[in-house]
Amino acid sequence: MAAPQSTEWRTVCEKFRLAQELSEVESRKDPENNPFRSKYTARDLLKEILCSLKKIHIEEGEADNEADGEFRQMVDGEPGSECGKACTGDSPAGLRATRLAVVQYCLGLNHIETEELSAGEQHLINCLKLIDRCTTTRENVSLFIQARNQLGILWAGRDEIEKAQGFLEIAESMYLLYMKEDGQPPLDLQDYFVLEGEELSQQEKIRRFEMAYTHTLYYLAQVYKNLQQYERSGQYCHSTLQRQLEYKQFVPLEWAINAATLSQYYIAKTRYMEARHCLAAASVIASLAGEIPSEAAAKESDAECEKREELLQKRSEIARCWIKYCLNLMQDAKKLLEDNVGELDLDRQEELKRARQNEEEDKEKGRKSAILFGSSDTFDSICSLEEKVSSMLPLDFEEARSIFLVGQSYVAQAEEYFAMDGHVTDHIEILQDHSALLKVLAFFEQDLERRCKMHKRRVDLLEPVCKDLNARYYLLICRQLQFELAETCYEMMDLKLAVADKQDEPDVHTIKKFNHLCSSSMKYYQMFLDSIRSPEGKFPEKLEEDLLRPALVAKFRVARLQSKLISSNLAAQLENLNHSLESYSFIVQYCEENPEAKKAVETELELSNEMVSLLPLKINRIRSKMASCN
Amino acid sequence: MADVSTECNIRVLCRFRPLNQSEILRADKYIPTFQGDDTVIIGGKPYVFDKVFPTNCTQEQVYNTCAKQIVKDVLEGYNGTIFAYGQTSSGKTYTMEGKLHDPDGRGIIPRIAEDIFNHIYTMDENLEFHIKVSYFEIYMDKIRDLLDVSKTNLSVHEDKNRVPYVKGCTERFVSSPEEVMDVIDEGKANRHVAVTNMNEHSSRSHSIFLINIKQEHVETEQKLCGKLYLVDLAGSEKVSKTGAEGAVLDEAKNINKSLSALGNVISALAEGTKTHVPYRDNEKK
Repeated sequence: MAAPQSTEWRTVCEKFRLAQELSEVESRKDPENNPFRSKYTARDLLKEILCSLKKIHIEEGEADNEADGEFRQMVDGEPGSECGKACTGDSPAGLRATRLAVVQYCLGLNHIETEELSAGEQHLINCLKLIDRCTTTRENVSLFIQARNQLGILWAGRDEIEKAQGFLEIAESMYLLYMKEDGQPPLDLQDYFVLEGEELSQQEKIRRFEMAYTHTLYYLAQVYKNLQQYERSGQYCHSTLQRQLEYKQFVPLEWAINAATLSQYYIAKTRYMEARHCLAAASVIASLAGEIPSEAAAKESDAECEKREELLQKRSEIARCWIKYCLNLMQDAKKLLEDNVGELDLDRQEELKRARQNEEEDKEKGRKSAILFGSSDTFDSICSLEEKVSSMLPLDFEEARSIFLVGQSYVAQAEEYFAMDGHVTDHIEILQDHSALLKVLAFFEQDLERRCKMHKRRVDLLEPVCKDLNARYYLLICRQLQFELAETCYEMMDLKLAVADKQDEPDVHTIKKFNHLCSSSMKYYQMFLDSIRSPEGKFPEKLEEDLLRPALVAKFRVARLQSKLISSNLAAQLENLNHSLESYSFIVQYCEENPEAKKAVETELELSNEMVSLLPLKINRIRSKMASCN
Repeated sequence: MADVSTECNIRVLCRFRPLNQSEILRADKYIPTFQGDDTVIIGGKPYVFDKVFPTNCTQEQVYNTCAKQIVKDVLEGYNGTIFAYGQTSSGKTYTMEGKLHDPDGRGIIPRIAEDIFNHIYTMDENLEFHIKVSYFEIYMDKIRDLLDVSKTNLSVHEDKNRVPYVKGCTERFVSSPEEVMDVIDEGKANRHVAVTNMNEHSSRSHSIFLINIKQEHVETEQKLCGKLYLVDLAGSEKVSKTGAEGAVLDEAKNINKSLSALGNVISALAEGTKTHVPYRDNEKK
C-alpha cells in the first residue's frame, strides 16, 4: 500500500496499535468500578486517528476534488457489481475510504462494548456507507463481512431477528461470491495501519478472513434457531464445526463434545449417516487431547488428577452418545419391521431388503461429501471408525447383532467414568440403555430360547441395582426399574409359555421355571404398586396423572399372572383365581369411580370386564370339583 | 421438603423491608399495600402468596411462620429447605441471619439453631441425637467449603443410599446453639478470604448452611435422618449474568458473540428424550 512514510503516519499507526491493545488486552485489567476505562482511552485514540486521516487524505492532494465528486454519487448496486459504484476497491480513493471505514468499524465495536448501542450502530453504518461506494475487492471484503457480522449481533440483541438475518445473509453471499470470482487473500483491518513491509503474511490474512466467515455462519446458526428453522440451524452448526477443524481453530475436547452433541440432533432426525460421521469425528478428535494420565500419575499431582478426570468424563460422555446411536438405529428398524403384535414381520423384512438394494448410491455420496469433517491427518481415522458400525437400519439378526456389539462396547466405556458410586443417576441411565439394547436385539432373534436368555441378562443387570437403591431418595428411578423388571419377567414368562406350547406336556422343571417367572413379575409389579401407597400403607383413592396408566396396567398384569400360575393343588388354584378376580375387579371399579381413567386403559378395561364375568364361572367349577373330591 | 408424600409441600412467603436511609433521603415512595395476610398490591395488581410480611413484622413472627414447623419436621426425619430469593439489598441476609447475636434482631438461622436444641430436650430421653453442620458457597459454578478454605472445588456426588451431596465438605458436630453460631461466624469470616469486594461477591454467590440431624432410639435402634438446607441465594438481578464471559447465552434471542458458546446452541437443538446431551461444565446440576 502506498502509505507515506511521514512521522505523522507512523504516529497514526502507533496509535492504532495502542488502541487495539487497550481494547483487547488492557481492558481485562480494568477495575470493577471503572470497567471501561481502557476502552474509553482507546476511543479517544481512534477519534484522533480519524482527524489525522482526514488531514493526511487532504495532503494527498487529489483527494478533495475526487472525493467531493465521487461521494456525491450514491447509488446502491448489487454487491460486487461495477455499475453504480463510485470507485473500485483498489483505487487510491477506495483505499482511503476503506481506511476510514476501518476506524469507523473500530469505533462501532468500541461503543457496542461499552454498552452504547446506538452510537455503535451509527459508526458501523458509517463504515458500511464508506465501503459500499466501492466495488468489493480484496481490499475491503473482509471489512464488508465483519461489519455486517456486528450489525447482525446488534439487531438480534434488539429482538429484530429478521434484520439480523438480513445483514448476515448478505455477508454470507459476499463471501461465496468473492471466493468464486477472486479468492485472493484479502486485507485484514490491521493491514491498514502498519508501516510498509509490516503487513500480515498471506497465511495470516487468509486465516483471519476465514475466521470472520466462520463467525458469520455461527451467527446465522443462532439466528435460524431463533427463527425456529432448526434444520438450517443444524446445517450451519455443522458448517461451523467443519470450518473450525479445517482452519485448526478448535480445542479438541470442546470440539469433540460439540460434534457428539450434534450427532444427537441428527439421531432425533433419523439421519444416521450424519450422526455416525459426527460421532466418529468426536472420538478421533477427543483422542487429540492427549493420553489419559494413569491412576498412579493422578495420585501424584493435582493437575494430572484433574486432567485424568476430565478426559475420562468426556470420553464417557461421547460413549453415551454412541450408545444412543446404536440404540435408536435398532429401535427405528424395529418400528419399521414389526407387525401389529410386535413381532418381526417377515414380508416387510423382504420388502425393505429389496428396497435397500435399489437405493441410489450417488445421492448418498453427495450427502456424505457435504458433511465431511477433517483435515488430511484425521480423515482416515474417522473413516476407519465409521466402518466399524453401519448407518443403515438393520433388517435381520446378524445386522442388528453387529450394531448391538458396538453399542455394548460403548456401555463399558461409559461406565468407566459414570460408576455407580458418585454418579448414581447417570450410571443407571447407562444400565437402562444397556437393557434397552438387549431388548431390541431380542426382537430380531427368532429362536425363542435364545430370546429368553437375552431378557434374563436384562434382569441380571437391573435386579441388583433395584435392590440396592434407596427408594426414599430415588423414588422415580426405583419405580422405573421395578416396572421394567416386572415387564421383562412377564416377557420371559410369555416366551416360556410359547416354548411349552410347542411341547406336548411341559415337565416339572419347566413348570417350576414358569411359576418362578410369574412370581417374580408379580413381585416387581407389586413393589411398584406399593411404592404408590401413602406412608401409612394406604393406596390412593385417586391416582395422579403420570401414575394412572402404569398403576392400572400393573394391576392388570398382576391379575393375568395370578390366573396363569400353574398348580396341581386345587386349593392353590382357587386362591390364585380369587386373587386374580380381585385385581381385575379393582380395575373395573376404579374406572367406574373415575371415568376419566377409562381412556388411559381402554384395552385393559375391556379385558378386565370380560374376566370379571368369566372368572367366577371358573372359580365355581373348581369349588365344585373340590367338593366332589371330599 | 417431605419427599415421600405426594402432597406438594412448597410454600412461598414474601417479606417487605422498610425504606432504607438513602431511599428516604431520595424521597422514594413506599408503594406496596397489603390485603389480608396473603396478598400484596403493587401498581394496582394483586399478587398472592402463601403469606406476606409487611415491614412491621418482627423477626420472631417471620420465623414462627416460615421455619418453626420445618424444624419439627426435620426432627422427625424429614428434609427441608428454606430459600431466600431477591435482589441485592432486598434484605435476604437480614431475614436469614439478621443481627446474629441480638435476641430480637436475630434471623431465621439463629432461631432454628436454638429451637432444634429446645425441642431435643423435650423429646424422648431414649433418643440419641447427632447434629452435624456444613457451610459452603457456590460461586461461578465452583463449590467452596466455608469451613476449610483450602477446599475450593468440591463436587456434587450421588450415592445410592442418599440424596446428592457435596463430597468432601467439612462436617462439624455441634451440641449447643452457641456452637452452631460459632460455626456460622467462622464460615462468614472465611467467606471474606480471597474476596476483594464482598458486596459484589455476595451478590453473585449462593451460600448454603446445612444442618444434618440423625437420631437413634437406644432401645429399638430405629434410626431417622433429617436434613435442613438454609440457602441464601445470589442477588436475583445478577443471576442471569453469572458465568464466564461468552459461556452463557444471556437470553434465548440474543446472539452469542463467542464460539465458545457453540456447544450451547447445538445442545438446544439436540434436546430430546431419545438422546443424550453431554453435560456442559457451566451447568451445576
